[in-house]
Amino acid sequence: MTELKARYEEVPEKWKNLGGRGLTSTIVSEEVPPTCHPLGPNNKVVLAPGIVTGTSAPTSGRISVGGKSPLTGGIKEANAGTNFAQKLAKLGIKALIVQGQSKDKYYLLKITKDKVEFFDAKPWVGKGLYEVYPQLRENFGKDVAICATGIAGELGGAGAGVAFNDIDGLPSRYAGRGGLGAVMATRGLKFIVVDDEGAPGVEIKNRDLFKEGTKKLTAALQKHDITKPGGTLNSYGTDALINVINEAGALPHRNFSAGYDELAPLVSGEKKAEIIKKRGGERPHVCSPGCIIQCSEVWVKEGGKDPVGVLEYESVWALGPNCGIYNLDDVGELNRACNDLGLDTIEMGGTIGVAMEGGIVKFGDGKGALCLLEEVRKKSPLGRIIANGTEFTGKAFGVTRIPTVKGQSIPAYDPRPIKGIGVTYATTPMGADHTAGYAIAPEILGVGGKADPMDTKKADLSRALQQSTAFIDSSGYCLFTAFAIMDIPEGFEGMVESCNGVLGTTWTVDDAVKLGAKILETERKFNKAAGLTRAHDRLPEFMRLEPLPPKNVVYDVPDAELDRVYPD
Amino acid sequence: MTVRVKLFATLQELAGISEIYIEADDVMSVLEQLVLKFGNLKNEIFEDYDRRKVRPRVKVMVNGYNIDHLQGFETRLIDGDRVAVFPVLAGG
Repeated sequence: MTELKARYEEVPEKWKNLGGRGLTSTIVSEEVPPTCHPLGPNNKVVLAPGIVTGTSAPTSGRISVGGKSPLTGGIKEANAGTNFAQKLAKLGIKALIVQGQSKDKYYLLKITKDKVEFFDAKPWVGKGLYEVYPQLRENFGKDVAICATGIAGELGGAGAGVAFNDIDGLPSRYAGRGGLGAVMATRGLKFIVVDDEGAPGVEIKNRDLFKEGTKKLTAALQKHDITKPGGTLNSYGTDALINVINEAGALPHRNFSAGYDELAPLVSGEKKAEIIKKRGGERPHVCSPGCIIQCSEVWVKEGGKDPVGVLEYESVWALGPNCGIYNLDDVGELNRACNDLGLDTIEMGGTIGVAMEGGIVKFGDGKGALCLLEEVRKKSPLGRIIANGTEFTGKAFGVTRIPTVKGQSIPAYDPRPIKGIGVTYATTPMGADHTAGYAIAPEILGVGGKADPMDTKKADLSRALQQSTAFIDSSGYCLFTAFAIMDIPEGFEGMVESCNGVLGTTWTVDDAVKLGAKILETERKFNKAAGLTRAHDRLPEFMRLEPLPPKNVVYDVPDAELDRVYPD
Repeated sequence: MTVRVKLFATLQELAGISEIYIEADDVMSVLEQLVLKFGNLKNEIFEDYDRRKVRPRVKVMVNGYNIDHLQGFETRLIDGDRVAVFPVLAGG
């Protein structure tokens, strides 16, 4: 970005079998100095589609975004489902590495099969993404895919995510976590537009094996009660979890001060599906072409107006119960503001929660919460604090109950009554991240085995989940395929075979897990060199001190058990 | 014993209600009475009603604890217990 130059490089031999998270984390660990300032000249943003992304493999439109995180100070990978991923892959691009810094202004990068061009992004700087996305399509073609960083990124806010378009063109699919939107913006890059017209497509080395693998995986996805057509993800979306996690006493309410509230059903997936149907929104919906789970939706206002896009479980919880807000219209507008400003919904839910704890706005005040986010648009001093996330905001307002690990906001499962997810929050190289090793599946949902949520011996479970997740995040498949493949072994075999079909490799399922373990090793090595120690692999102190009602339990997994996840 | 029974997802949609109070001494009795009150839940909850075989996809919590980690369908209930019944589901 310093010289406004783009060049193509052959993929080095050592990287040729990598994709998604495996590739972004490897490139970041090799090319970014671990001690660099995340917003300074030496950081990079790497975007990489998964191994099978861009092919006909089901539910595989994922893109990973990597860099050094301004939120955690460690390595970061965040991923999203969007046709941007598929278009980039079809152009034959394994990874896009953005480096250097343009000091004077922001740019838009346009990528086609023939060239890469830089455009002055001035007309679209300082504007909300719901306004900008249609303008970009008008200027660069109605079928282009768009990646963006919003106003929050312009502020260098550590809560800034990287936005992508959904299939209707809304800026609602986010690689949200870890502040990578700020890293992108501080390169001087505001937008990436991809036009894949005439693209050669993804090379598949062994078509028969690929076909066989995708057939097995498709069968598993269509058979499992969670992922099948008409299954719970398809019918209610991810937000169906609100009632269940609330029932388990683990849905954090009012900044992690309670795990259950009678009002939770007002923002449940069941309630949301009912309203969407009544208003004429869309349910089910896909985030990217070729998804056969179809868990997404389009939330609209009364009268079917002003579509927001999906309201995920995490977003609804963060901007709802965690802020004492039990009104889906308020949640919808807060989610719209996050999408518009380029903010991670989980981080902002945590941020508003601690701001409420600090007395800036009252718990339950949806309009007040929206005013806080609007401060980001104004680029006011308060907006700059908010844009920097939960930990920064908690410190600014003298709050001690700050729900973060490695500076990143804890997601929608309080770990006090669900011990294994806490082990993942504490030990993943990513900072608090439920997707890094989703122990909720066996602990609460009875998927992939059954584990007692109150049992404190969870190091082995979390490690195994983190390893398989690191592979899935590299494959290009959506993590939700895991629900099926954890219960149906042929599904996992099919997933690995489809990767082998694309790459010409001969991986077994065990090899895939080993590859996941290697990715984690690479990420942990970066974090160590960046200064993160075992002291960072801990949950916040208040979780060991304050019992969470109604089960009235504290987090009691011993430090030695946490350290057993990665004994080195 | 009078217990508060909550239904989620498809079970809620089929029954047309989200919760109901039921007289029952254990979890199996709750499921049986749900079927008596809402005939369309029979095949959703039971694989074989006559043999009281519950579908593996049906999950039950008593006061927030999964019955897999209590005494299963024989888990005893007392007045005021909260019983949640739902199909296997997920999110993230």
